Amino acid sequence: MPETLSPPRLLPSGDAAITVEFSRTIDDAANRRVLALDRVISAEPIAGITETVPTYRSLLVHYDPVQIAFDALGKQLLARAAKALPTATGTRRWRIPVTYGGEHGIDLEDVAKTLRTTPDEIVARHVAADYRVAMIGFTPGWSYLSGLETFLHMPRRQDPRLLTPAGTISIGGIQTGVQCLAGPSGWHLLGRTPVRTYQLHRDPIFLLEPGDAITFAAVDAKTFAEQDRAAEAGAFVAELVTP
Amino acid sequence: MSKLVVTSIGPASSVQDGGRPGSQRYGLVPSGAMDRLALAAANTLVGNDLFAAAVEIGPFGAALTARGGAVRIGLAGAARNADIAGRAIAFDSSATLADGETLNLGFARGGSFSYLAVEGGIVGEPMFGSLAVNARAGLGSPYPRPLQAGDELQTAKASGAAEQRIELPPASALAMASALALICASVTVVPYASQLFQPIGGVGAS
Repeated sequence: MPETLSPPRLLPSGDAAITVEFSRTIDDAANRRVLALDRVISAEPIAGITETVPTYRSLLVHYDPVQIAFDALGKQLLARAAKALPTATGTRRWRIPVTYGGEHGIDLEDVAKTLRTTPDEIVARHVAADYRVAMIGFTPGWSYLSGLETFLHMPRRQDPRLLTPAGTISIGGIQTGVQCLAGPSGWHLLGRTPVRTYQLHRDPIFLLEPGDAITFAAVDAKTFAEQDRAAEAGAFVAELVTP
Repeated sequence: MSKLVVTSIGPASSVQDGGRPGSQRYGLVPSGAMDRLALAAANTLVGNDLFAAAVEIGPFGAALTARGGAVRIGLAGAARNADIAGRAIAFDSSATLADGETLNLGFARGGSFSYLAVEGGIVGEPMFGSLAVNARAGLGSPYPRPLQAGDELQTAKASGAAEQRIELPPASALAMASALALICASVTVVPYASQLFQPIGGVGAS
């Protein structure tokens, strides 16, 4: 007998968007349903939808209210959600190089102290896990990953920084992520990657997709410098492990 | 080709258009005009597409000078004192700057953002189909940043059309929308307005 899934909540979001909410909290199963619904809508489009935006626990569906009314769209979304079964098939896997600690990850020592262990163990644990891009948001290419192991969960910084470097790899709460552009952050900075998840004049401009699998590989500062130059010139630097 | 040269301009002023929806799943905000109706009104006044790129002017004043020929402009949005070489001009109307003349705009009254559309539109290289400035993402054309003194905005077509003035009621957004609907048959107001009144809270099962 097939698994029955509880229907999502439909929340009006302004006059031209619906939030299709699968959970009230960050939840891996809910995120998989979000991505599954996104795939089904992509495969079986609904006239009037202008854009979909996957997030941790809901899919934001933008629509043109002149083309389709809220109720009619809501009905179709619920029908698609009912048959949108989460699946892992076709997942791309990327290996992303990271230089941990030192000037590249200025919070690594403090994180190790707080968690009463060594910087080496923090790095070993962060590299060992299997991650998945749950959503991309905040700034272009900022990829929020699910899969951070419980040991590395810790509260955000008391004093958020107004500027953190491009390519920062950080942890905050139950989350970890790949930041592309320099910007503000309250997370703990573990390292930096030369990978540009967003780069104009490169094909593709956005490297990662929601749902992509991610593993990190520790590299030294010299490798970072070399790969940073290559990435600036348009190389992916990230390695596509499985297509 | 005629152009507008920025003589002086305040903060929060940049080239904006209908924006670049479609990449929010990658964290790229759509950008675009703060006040879409006012952008559409300014463009309508000079015969452009409703959401063509125009100059979005923040709360403070600005001055722009026509070079290389005449430039016909449309002004809409937050009203300001405005003159061309000393000749007072009204908001929600179009006017023409002769070559060398300067448009002076004062502080915004009763709003923050005003729109200066130029006949033919602003020349630029679209990224994701838009000229709108998003400085953090390095996007926007002809300048991927807010405007500053010395910047030059090329117009896509030299002016020369007969002067044409359309008076828009300087009233509420709904009055503006109605006026636009009359001007542009493609704009349908009623079905859109009916969507404004959805029930608050969740709909469907939870």
